[in-house]
Amino acid sequence: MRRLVLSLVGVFFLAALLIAGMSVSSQAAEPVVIGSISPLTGTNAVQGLDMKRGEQMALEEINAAGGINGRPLKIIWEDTESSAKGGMDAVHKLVEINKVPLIVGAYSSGISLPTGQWTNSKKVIQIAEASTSPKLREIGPYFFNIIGLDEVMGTMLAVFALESGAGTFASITVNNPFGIGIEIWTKKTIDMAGKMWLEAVRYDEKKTDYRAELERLFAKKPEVVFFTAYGTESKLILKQAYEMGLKPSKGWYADYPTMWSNEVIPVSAEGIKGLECGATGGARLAEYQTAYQKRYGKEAKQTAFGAYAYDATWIAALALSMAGSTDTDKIAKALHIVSKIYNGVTGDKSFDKDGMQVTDYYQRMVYQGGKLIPY
Amino acid sequence: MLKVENVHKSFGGILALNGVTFSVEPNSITGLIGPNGSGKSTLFNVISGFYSKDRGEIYFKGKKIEGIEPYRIAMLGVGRTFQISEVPEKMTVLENLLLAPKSQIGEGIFNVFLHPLKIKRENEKLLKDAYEILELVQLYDLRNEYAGNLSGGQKKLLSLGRILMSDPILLLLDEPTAGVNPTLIRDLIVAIKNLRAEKGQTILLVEHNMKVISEICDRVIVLDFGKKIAEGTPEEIQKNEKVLEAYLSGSSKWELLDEDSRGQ
Amino acid sequence: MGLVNFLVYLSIMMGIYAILSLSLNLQYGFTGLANFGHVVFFCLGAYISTIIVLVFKMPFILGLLGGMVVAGLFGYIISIPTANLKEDYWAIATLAAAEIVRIFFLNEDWVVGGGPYQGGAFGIGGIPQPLRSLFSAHTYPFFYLVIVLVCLVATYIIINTLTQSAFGRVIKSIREGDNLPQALGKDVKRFRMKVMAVAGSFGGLAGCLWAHYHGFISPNQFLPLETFIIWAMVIVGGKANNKGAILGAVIVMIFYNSTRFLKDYIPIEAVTLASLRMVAIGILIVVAMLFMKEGLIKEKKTLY
Repeated sequence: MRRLVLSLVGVFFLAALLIAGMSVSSQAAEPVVIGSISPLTGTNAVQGLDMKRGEQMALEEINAAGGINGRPLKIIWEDTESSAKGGMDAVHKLVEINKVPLIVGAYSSGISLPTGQWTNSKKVIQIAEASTSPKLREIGPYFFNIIGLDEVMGTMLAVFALESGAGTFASITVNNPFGIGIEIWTKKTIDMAGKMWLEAVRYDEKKTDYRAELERLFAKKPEVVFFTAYGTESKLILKQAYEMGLKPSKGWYADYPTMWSNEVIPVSAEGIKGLECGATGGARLAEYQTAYQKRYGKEAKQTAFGAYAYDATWIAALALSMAGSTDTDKIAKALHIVSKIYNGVTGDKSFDKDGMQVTDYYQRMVYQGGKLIPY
Repeated sequence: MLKVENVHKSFGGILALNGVTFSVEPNSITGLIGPNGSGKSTLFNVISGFYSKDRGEIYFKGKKIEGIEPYRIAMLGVGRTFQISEVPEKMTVLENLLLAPKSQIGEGIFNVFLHPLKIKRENEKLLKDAYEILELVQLYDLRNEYAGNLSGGQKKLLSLGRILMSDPILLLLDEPTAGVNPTLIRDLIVAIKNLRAEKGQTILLVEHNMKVISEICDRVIVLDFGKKIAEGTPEEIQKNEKVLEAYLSGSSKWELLDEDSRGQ
Repeated sequence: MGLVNFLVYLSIMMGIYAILSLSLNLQYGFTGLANFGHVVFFCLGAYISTIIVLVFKMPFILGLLGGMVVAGLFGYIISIPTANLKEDYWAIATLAAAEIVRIFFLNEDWVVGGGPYQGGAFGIGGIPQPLRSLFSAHTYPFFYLVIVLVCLVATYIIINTLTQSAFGRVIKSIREGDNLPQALGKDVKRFRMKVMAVAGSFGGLAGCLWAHYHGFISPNQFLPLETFIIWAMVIVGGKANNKGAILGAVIVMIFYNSTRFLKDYIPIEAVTLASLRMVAIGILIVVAMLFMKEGLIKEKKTLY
C-alpha cells in the first residue's frame, strides 16, 4: 500500500515535470502569450465567464487584424476559483511556467491585491479588470487597472444626488471593499458640499432579513440614500423597505444598477436613480454589444465586466505591439502611452501615474416601469 | 465502604430506582441480582456518577459523593465495567489495558516532552502489569489485535482486565461473565477471589449466573422494580419466597434456577 | 528555472496546508472532534501575527509565537462551553465560532491600527516578509520554503509524539465515546480542550506562514469553504495517520495545480476545464470516502 502511494505521488510529480518541461519547449509556434485570471468557478463565476467572453472577442479581433507585429496573440485562461489561494496558484503557473509578460484580471479586489503584489514583485504586468478598491493604487509600477476606482464612482454618484437639492444623506452598502469604498467617497463628497450626512449602514451578504439595517438607515429620515448591492440582497432589501413603507423623499441613488435591475420586484425599485459603468453611450459600445450578441447569441449587458475585459485585452495588445518586445518595463511605458489614445468600449482609458483610471464613464439611469432607462 | 441510602431515580414517568438502601462491607464480594429492568444497571450508573440521582445519598468510604462527574468518582477509586462492553474498537487489546491506569505522567502534554525518561520508566512498568493481566484474562495472544475484532466474551474479559489494570478500591462489575466461555468463567472466579485476598479490593457485581453468585459472593442483594426486595447469603436468597416470585412473574425464571442452560 | 520556482511555491503551499491537515487530523482523526470551523485557527494565526508584526513592529518570530498562542488559547476557550456537545452539535458550534471570528475581522478595522483602506473588508496588505532584505526576489522563496519545512517537521514530530503517548491513548479512547474514559477517571472535557489548544496553535502557525508569504490577508480568505479543502486532505490521506495527513495535503494540492496544465496540451475550453476540475475534486473526495474509508494510508496500529 505504502509503495503504491509513494509511486502515485512520484507519478504525479513526474507528470508535472513533464508537462511543465513541454510548455517551455512548445514556444516554437511563436505566438505572443499573455495570461488571464478570472473567477471561472465559484461565487463570481457569472462575471468571470463574461470577462472571459470579452477577452475572447478581443483576442479574435486582434488576431484578425494581424496580431502583435505579425505574431498571433494567445491567451492562457486560468481560474481563480473565486479565492485568493486559487488566484495565487494561477499567477504562479502563468508567470513561472508559461512565462507570460502580462496578465489581465482579476475580478475582485481581494484577489487582485495579493496577485498584484506578487506579479509586481516579479516585474510582470497585471491589468485588473473589475477591481475597484483604492488600495490597488499602492501596488506598484507594473500594476494597472482598467476600471475606475470607487473614488471615481463614489464621487460621481454623490454629485448626481446633490443635484436633487437634498440636504440630508445616508448610505446602505454591502460590507466589502467595494461597498465601503462607495460609502467613503459619497460621504467625502457630501461633506465637502457642506451637506448633512446622517447614517452609514453596512450590511453583510447572504442574510435573510435586512429590516434591522433598514430601520437604522431611516431612523433620522434621510432625503437621499446611497445604495450598493448585488442582485439577491437588493431584491430583499428593496422589497422589505417597500413593505415597511420606507422611502427617502428625494430618492435612492445606486451604483452599478445592472447588478440588480433584472432581479428586483419592479414596484419596489420604481424611481431609483443610478450610475451605470462602462456606458459611454458611444458608437464603440453599441458596436461591442452587437458583436457580442452575434458571437455568443446572448445580450452583452449580462454584466458590465465583459466590456472592461475586452478593453483590457485590447490595450494590452496595443502596448505589446508598441513595445515590440516582452520586456515589461517597455510594456509598462507603452501602456501609459497607448492608454492616452485608446478609446475603448467603456470610454477613454487613460492611466494616471499609478496605472489607475483617471476617470470613468457613467450613464445616469433611472428604473421605471420594470426596467432601467437613461435618465 | 459503600453505603446507598434511599436512592431514587426516575426516567420520565418510570421509576427505575425507588428508594434503594444497602451497604457494601470493605473487602467483601456482593452480588446484585434481579429480573431484567429491575434497576441494577441504573444503580451502577448512579453510583458511578453517569446518572444523577433524584433523591437519596451515596457514601463512599464514609464520604458523600454527590453531583460530581463520573471521572472524579473514578479517581476516588470506584471502577466500573459496562453491561455492553465499552471497548474502543480502533485500539489494540494491549492499548486498552495501558489506557486504564489513572493519572499517568504521559497523559500531560508538556510531560510528554519534558520528562521522556520518567515516561519511559512508567511505560515499562505499565507494560509489565499489562502482560500479567493479559495472562490472567487469557488475551495475551490477542494483545496486538484491535479490540473491535474480539468476540463479545473476549470483550467482557478485556473490560475486566482493564478494570484490574486501573486498580480501583471498589469494583462495580456489570455482568462480567456474560458470553464468556464456561471453563474460563471458572478461572475468572478464582481470579476475582484472589483479587480480594491479595489486594483487599471490594467488589459489587451484577450477575445472572447463579453458579458464579453462589461461588464467590458473600452477600446478595435482590432488586425488583427499583426496590430492594431481599438481602442475604446466596443460600438464603435462593430459598427466599419473594425472590422466586419476582423472577417467576418477570418470566425470567430460568435466569435464577436453571443456571446450566445458560452458557457458552 | 521557472519550473523550479513554481515547484518551490507549490511546496510552500503544500507545507502550509500539511500543517493545517496535521492539526485537523489531531482533532478529527485521533480525537473524533469533527471541527467544521478549523479555518478559524488559520485566520487567527494570520491576523494576530500580522498585527504583531505590522502594527507593533515586532519581529516575525514573535508574530509567529503570538499567532500560535492566541489561536491555541482560542481553541482552548471555545471548548469550554462546547466540550460536552455531541459530535454534530460540536461541528455546528465550531462552524459558528469560525464565522464569528471572521466577521469580527471583517467589521473591526481598528485592530490593524486604522489607516485608509487598511483592515476590515479591505484586508491587510504589505505584510512584511521575514528577513526579506537578505535575499533577492528570486532566492527568497527558497528561504521561505526552509522556514515552512522546519515548521512542518516540528509540527509532525510534536503531534506524532503526542499521539503515540499515553495522551494519545486517552484521546483515541475519547474518539469512540465518553463513557469508557470517564469510567477510567479521565477528564474527557479537559482532554478535548487540550487537543483543541494544541491543534489551534498549529493551525495558527499555518495562518502565520500564509500571511507572511503572501503579504496580504482579508476576511474572505477564511470562508468556511477553506475548512473543507483541509477536510479533503485528511480524508484522502488517511485519518488518524500523521503521514497520511501530510500525503493528503500533497495530493490535493498537486491535484488542484496539475489539472490546470491540461488545457495547455489538450484542446479543452478553459471554462469547461475549470468546471471539470471542481467536479473532479468532489469526485476524488467521494471516491476516497466510499472506497478508501481509511484513506491512502491507514491508521497505524500502535504496537509495543
